[in-house]
Amino acid sequence: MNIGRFWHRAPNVFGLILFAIFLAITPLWVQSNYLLSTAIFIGIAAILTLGLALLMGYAGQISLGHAAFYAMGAYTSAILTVKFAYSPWLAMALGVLITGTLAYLIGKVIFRLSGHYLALATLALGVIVFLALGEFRGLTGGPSGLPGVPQLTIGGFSFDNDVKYYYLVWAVFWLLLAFSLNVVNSRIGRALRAIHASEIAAESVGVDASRFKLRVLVLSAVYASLAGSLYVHYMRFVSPQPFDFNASVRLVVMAAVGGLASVWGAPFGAAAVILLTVLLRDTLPFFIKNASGEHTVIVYGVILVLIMIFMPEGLTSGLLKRRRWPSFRSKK
Amino acid sequence: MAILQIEKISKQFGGVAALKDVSLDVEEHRITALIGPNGAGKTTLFNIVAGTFPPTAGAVRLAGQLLNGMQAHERVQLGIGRTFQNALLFDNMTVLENVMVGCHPRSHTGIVACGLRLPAMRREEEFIYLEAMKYLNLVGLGLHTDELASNLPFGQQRLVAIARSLAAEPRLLLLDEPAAGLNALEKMDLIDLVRRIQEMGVTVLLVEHDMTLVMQLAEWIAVLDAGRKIAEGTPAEIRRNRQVIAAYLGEEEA
Amino acid sequence: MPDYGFGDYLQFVLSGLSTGSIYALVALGIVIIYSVTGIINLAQGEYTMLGAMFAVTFYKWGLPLPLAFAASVIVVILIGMLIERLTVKPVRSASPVTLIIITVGVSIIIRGVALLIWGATPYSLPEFTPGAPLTLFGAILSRQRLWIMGVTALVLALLYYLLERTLLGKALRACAINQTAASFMGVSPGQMSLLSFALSAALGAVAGIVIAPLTLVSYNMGLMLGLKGFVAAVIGGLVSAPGAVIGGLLLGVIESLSAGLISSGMKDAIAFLALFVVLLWRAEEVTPRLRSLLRRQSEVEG
Repeated sequence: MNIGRFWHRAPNVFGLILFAIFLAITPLWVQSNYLLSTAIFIGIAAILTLGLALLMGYAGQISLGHAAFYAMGAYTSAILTVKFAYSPWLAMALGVLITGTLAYLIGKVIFRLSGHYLALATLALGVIVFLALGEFRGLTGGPSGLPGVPQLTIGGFSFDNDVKYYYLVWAVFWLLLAFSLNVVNSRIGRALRAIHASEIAAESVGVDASRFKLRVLVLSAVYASLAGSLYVHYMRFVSPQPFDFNASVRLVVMAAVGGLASVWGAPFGAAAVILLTVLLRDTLPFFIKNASGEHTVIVYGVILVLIMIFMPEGLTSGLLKRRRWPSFRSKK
Repeated sequence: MAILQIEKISKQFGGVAALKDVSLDVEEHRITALIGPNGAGKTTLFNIVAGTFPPTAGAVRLAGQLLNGMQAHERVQLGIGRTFQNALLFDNMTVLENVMVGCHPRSHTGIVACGLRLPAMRREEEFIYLEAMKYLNLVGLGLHTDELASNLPFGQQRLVAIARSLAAEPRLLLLDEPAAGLNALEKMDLIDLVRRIQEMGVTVLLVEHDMTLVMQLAEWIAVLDAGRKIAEGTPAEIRRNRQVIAAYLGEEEA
Repeated sequence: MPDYGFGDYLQFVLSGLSTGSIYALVALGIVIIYSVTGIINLAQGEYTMLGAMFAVTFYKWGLPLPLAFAASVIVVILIGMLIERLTVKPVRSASPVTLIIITVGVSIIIRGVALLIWGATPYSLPEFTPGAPLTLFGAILSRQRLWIMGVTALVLALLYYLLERTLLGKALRACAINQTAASFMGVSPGQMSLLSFALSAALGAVAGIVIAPLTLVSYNMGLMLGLKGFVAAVIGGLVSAPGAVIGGLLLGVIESLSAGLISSGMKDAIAFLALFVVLLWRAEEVTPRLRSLLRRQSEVEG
């Protein structure tokens, strides 16, 4: 009986091991610094997407301002380390605390309403945070940003090159993925899937739907905050531009491409969108005269609409044609 | 002693009165049936007891405790379980997982403990699994655990729904038309199951249209017609009650 | 703070009302689509951009301004209908999350295509009746602002007539109240969905064209206007047409006053703060209604 139940989890455990091996050996064959740095950005985006996929796929809620949570992590780290000389790790922890608390307060009120209102509230939050970053110059440096963010170090070890940072980012992602898989395959994950299937039935067996949605919102905000901190310590600089409305939309695209039915989709969604953007930015000017980075957004608009119409469960699960939910459970 | 007291409940939908001044005491450990012609307000009364929507007037008490203003999920914690006419299973989950969700009110692990798979969480998962299996075996579906709930025939989906409600260990179980669509043999099994549930110490209140089944199973019957309670009593009393006969003749043959 | 007189305040309010008219038109489009189809159309702002862009283009081709205006509105209506057929019709029963994402995708595509066609440099459209600004009790008001308010009033009157006095409008409203019941009465929800998109596109286009002479017309002007329209629609309750108009005007005045009295940089932030506050406030007010709606539905099921 217990062995049988272990096999339910086995695909996830093996998946995590294989994924860890893949991540570990990638820098051995990827020699280009450009690609390695792209891989770091993919890792950061994957952390963000992971949280968003949990929120959208499991809690059935959409955040159109996720970049705000990302920005809060990034700016908390940057401001505390640059202006107040805090330890980066302490700043990162405080970022998580602040962002999580704010997400909790927002969700507390908004989850009494339907999904539309959460979408609009997060959208407003995203725009407000973005505008505030540009306005409060004293603290944030305004539109021109805040330079001089220190490197991350542990004892005497410093994450001072791309290879080291690659391992750091992807290790964080891997841990969060394992954490998320455990949550999904627990009473909390079951409660969330129950809410997704029928909120009335879920309430009838004692599941407090709004409380669980709220927890997932906080969890996804915490992931976003961590991603923000990792981002600024890599760039050593922060400005408002990466946290605008388009950034939030891009995150939704990544989550949608990766698939909302499984947390495994997050790294694929992030990788697909970032690689496509890089590819288009480098090749589009050959086809369209005067094409700029902005034009690449048409392509993601088209991808987004097509996926949502034809494979609303997302590209990865759509292609795998898995009908069971969540994927990677045992086959009958 | 009455475990459930329904006191002067009225419910208006828009201008339409679905229930008018309905009072009913459900005795503990007794199987009580709520009958009445279509549209009499039986399901509405269930929904008010379960907390799906509030009554326009009146009060509901469970073992003396006032339930007014409590949400559905809070009432489950206090010991009210219910099933729906159309089962309303979680279609995206297996039979076992459906019943495991039923254990929700009796488990407590938080999101961090779940994410880290702490020993307490593993112990609780084991407990949830064993409990779910226990109730699946009770309803006779112990061999269908890994089936997707939506793939089962409708009669069995109902049983899963009953197991799911029982997994929360309710004191009072509300069954909404559990026999609809069942064949004669399945109805026999259902009667047997409800009696076993009663033996476990759970009080059962059911809405049912099948009179033969109600007369066999129920120890006390309340009759609703057009939103009013027109009679209550033992099956023998109800069978003789002129008002009940009239209400049913107006609608269908009794 | 500068020393303001009555004329200054009047000016803030009047210019706020004219900007608010634009928000009101955009908000009305959002409300119409939401009421009829249940879709939060985040691409609504793009119709204003398209309206302005096409008007500029037709005007440049040598069409007289009124004709360019009309032609542009028609083209945008066709685009709105095309979008409905291509992206909304195939997924009528999809989840709210899916539908929102689709409209976000549509808005990205429209903006990108506009960039491709018209480029990043902004265009301008002449005022409808050029001339010196008018003075009213010390408030200085450009003629175009009067046009904005006048056209908005006209559009609102037409819309009122359409919704309240014609069979088509009644069908549309029936669909918004109860789709199933409406379809029993012979109203096709699919056609009403198409009509709602056409109407919203028209409202958006008109808004874009009348504001064009005051702002520069560029491919990304729709984003902010659309978002502001949302704020206005939510202030008005998201399902009420008069609410959307009041919400729009209110937002315009709040913005204009805060730009004049606090700082113009914070103007946008204040608009979104307003959205936030309204959402929180509505949470208390809307919840019971939503719940009873939800529960009545369960009653039908159960």
